[in-house]
Amino acid sequence: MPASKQLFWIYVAAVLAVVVILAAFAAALFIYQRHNLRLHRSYAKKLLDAHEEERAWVAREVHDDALQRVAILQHELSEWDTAEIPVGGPGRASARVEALRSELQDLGEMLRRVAHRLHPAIIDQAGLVPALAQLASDVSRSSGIDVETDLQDDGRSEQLSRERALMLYRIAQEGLRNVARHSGAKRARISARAQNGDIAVSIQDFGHGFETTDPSRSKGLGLISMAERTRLAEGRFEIWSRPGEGTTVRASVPIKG
Amino acid sequence: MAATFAQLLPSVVVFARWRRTTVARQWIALWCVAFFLSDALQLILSMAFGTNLWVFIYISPVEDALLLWALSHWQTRPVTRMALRIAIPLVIASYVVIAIIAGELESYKTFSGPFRALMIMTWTAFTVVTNIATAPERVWARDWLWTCLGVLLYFGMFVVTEPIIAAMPRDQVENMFRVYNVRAIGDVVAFILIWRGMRCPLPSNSSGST
Repeated sequence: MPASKQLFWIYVAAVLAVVVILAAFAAALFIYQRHNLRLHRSYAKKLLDAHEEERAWVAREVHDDALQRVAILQHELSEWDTAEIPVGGPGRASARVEALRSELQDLGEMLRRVAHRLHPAIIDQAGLVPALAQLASDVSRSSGIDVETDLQDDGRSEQLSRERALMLYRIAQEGLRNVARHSGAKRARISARAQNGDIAVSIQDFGHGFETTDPSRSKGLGLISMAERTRLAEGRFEIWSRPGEGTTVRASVPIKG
Repeated sequence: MAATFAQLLPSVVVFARWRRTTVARQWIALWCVAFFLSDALQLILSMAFGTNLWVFIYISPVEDALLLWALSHWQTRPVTRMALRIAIPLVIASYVVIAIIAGELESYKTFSGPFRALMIMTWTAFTVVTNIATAPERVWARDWLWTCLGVLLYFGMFVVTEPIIAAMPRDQVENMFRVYNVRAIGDVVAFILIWRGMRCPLPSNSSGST
């Protein structure tokens, strides 16, 4: 074959290589774009479902608990109002006052729980670290899991903006909820550390563990929402897990910025 | 001969701890084995029958597929991982087209060589650049860095030496041997770099980050 023809075919081979590379990228972008669109639609639907679920939970709590207690209190008060002489004498009256006080206390506790779930006021009042300690103690009480805390932020978390502190708190809340629901662990640890201008919150459990996959492939909303919250706070979200070796979820966000 | 045996170095490291290594390293080890088998077979055939080029036709698409698949595991973004995997059937189809157009073995090697070198070097350079750009810490202890450098050196030597050999008059056998020797040294260094990559500490088992 003459050299000029050979050179021509070498050029054709090089062009073919470029075409293959560009075609592979174009096809991948096309497939990925479609996949992303489907994923976003599914996120949006899951987010709406989660909002609806949250509202339903508040409505249930208010209707089934708060309103029942209010009805009992009303009934007690109207009975008292219509009775001319207290049945059972002053001793009985004092017991009824005590019962009313206890009922009001329960009602207050229940409303505090609802309000705390809607927005943890402790973050505004005391900051991230006390809020995480409170969360660990709440989860320990409600789920029976022994949640250890290791909160050494050197006071740096106080410099976090309210939004970022709330995001880290929500991530920790979701992480512990996952531990209680899926890990089968009896022990978990929540830690907060200040490192190189970042605050990192980790939730570690000593349960089943799982094969780690991309958070975006998760069927539930938990990992997705944790990853999304971290992304919104310009942070970094990581999961380490292996079957039988437990799971660690870590979110770190910049203190400033 | 040394260049051929050097190709087994990375595989030895990976096969020794097959269960405790990463998927990318396992595929790199298989790629090295394919390389070794191809070279060894070509050596044996050339000594026995004088012709060995047909091995190249069957093995090079397999080698490239193995390497692209291994590189896909080192991609930092799902979209580039997918692009590399889509490229595999396209590359194999391109080899078939080149074989049909070339018609005979000598021309096939002349046309598929530049195609292959450009293809592999582009994907490898892309992998190393994107990984360095997104690496949160120093990259010296990362397997992808040494492996990609080794692959780039190997195909770089091919790109540099092939035109020199092609341009040499057929009677300059001694000079031709010199060029082949330089290339063999480059190949040994390339596989030592890949071997170095296979000996890097394993990354922590992370699902990735956002």
